[in-house]
Amino acid sequence: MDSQPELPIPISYVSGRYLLHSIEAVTYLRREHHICGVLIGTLPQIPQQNVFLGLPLELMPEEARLLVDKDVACIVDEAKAQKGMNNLLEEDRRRYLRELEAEGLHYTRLQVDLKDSKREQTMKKLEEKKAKAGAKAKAVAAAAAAQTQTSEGAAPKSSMKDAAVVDLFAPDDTRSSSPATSTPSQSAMAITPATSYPPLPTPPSSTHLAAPAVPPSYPLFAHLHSRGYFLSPGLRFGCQYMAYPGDPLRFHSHFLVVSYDWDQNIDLMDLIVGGRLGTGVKKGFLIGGAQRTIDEVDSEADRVDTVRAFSLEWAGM
Amino acid sequence: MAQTTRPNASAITSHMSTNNDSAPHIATAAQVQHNLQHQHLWTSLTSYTIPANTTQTEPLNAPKEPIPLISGYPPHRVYTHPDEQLYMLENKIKEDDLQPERMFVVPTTQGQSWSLRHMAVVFDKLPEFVEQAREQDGGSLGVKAADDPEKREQLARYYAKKEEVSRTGEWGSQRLLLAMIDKGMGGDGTVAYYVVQEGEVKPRQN
Repeated sequence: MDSQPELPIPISYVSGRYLLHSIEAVTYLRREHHICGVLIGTLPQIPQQNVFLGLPLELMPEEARLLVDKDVACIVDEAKAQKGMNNLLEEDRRRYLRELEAEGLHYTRLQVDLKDSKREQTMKKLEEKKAKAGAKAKAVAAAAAAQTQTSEGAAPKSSMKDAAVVDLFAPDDTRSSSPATSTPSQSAMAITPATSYPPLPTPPSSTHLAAPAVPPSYPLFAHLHSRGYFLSPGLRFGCQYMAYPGDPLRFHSHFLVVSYDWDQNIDLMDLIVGGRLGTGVKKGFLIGGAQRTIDEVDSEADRVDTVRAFSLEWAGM
Repeated sequence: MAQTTRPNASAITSHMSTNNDSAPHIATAAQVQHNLQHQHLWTSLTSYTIPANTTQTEPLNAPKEPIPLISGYPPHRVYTHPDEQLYMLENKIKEDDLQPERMFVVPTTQGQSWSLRHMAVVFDKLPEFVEQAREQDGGSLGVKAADDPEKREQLARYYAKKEEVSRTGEWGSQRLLLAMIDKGMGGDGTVAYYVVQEGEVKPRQN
């Protein structure tokens, strides 16, 4: 559970998006760095299914920037990195393929074992049932002994039939007469690795892309993140970010967050709209921003320290 | 022919003109004060002004226009922090047992310029005005005398706790009301009030 991926974690930059493909990295960042991102992967066979999405995980530029600034992650140009596949030594390539096959075999074996144990269990149950039925029959009438024998004779036949049914659904080992003993060496499960970083060497730091460009709301984002809030995109509530006091799976969000520049004119109607909406969904409306612009300081980190935030709620009067 | 005469000015208009409406911020403040006094039955209303600053070289310099402020005692508590509410419930303290608190209001009008600078300046100046108001009240509103000694002890504990959390910000830090009026088309007299707090203060469970 507490596995830690090798740092810095490479974030794939693919046509303007920051993506993570490794489940290890995704869980680590969520657990240790409060970065949730958004899962955007759908099933190739059922692309309409968009309720439960999976890998890859897309990060907001703010999230990617925060991780890069903390030296937890680095940005890798995915298109360029994949070209390295051609330079891979033939020997390395073969070894990698062998490893994949070995892993696939391991999983096939696990599956076969599981199936065997399941079959054994059902057989045992059938056996017990039969024994019970037999005992009952004996108790009812000793005279019907001949009848009991015929029923005992019939039972194995039916279990044989069961095995045949199971056989039908077993993958291409129909020719083997006893499926329990077969270990199909050539039908290793095909494994599709989600990351290409064991075969490829980890890209050297000189090839990393620069820290992502971030919107003007970054200082407020980083400020709230440093206070332990989990932030997610706020489109659903018509704001910039949603701020959760803990993992979004366990908590409702506390704030609808909108960032302003220090001297940017705020339409008071927007404050009312935000405050009213927030109160309507039991959240606060939080506005804030950095006192300094990026031209006045050396780095974004200096701006984060000057952030002021204010929370609004309807007064109910 | 009967001579037509202008009708008398409305109560709010005459209130505003007697309050020197030469500056727009004063007129806005007068209207909000009128609303607080007569619709929400606030008492001991006092007005203040945060003076304007001509240059805004530093982020915390006051903005170009003066900001009016009003303070007063609402008949009921306007805001109770959720953790404070929990403490009060656990210790069986009712809102009526507590001494009233002076609340500050920033009157604004739709369409006026407003920014984070305005907000920060108001909050930075607030302690001065709170102190000023405390001197003015002269402690006359002191702790309500509870007859029950047990209750008195409970309240003393509550005020001690309140003093303690005011340093940590556990029950929220400084807060005030943002009042907004609509002057377009003469306005309909509505004043919208929002509680504004400094920093990240968790929402109430309304």
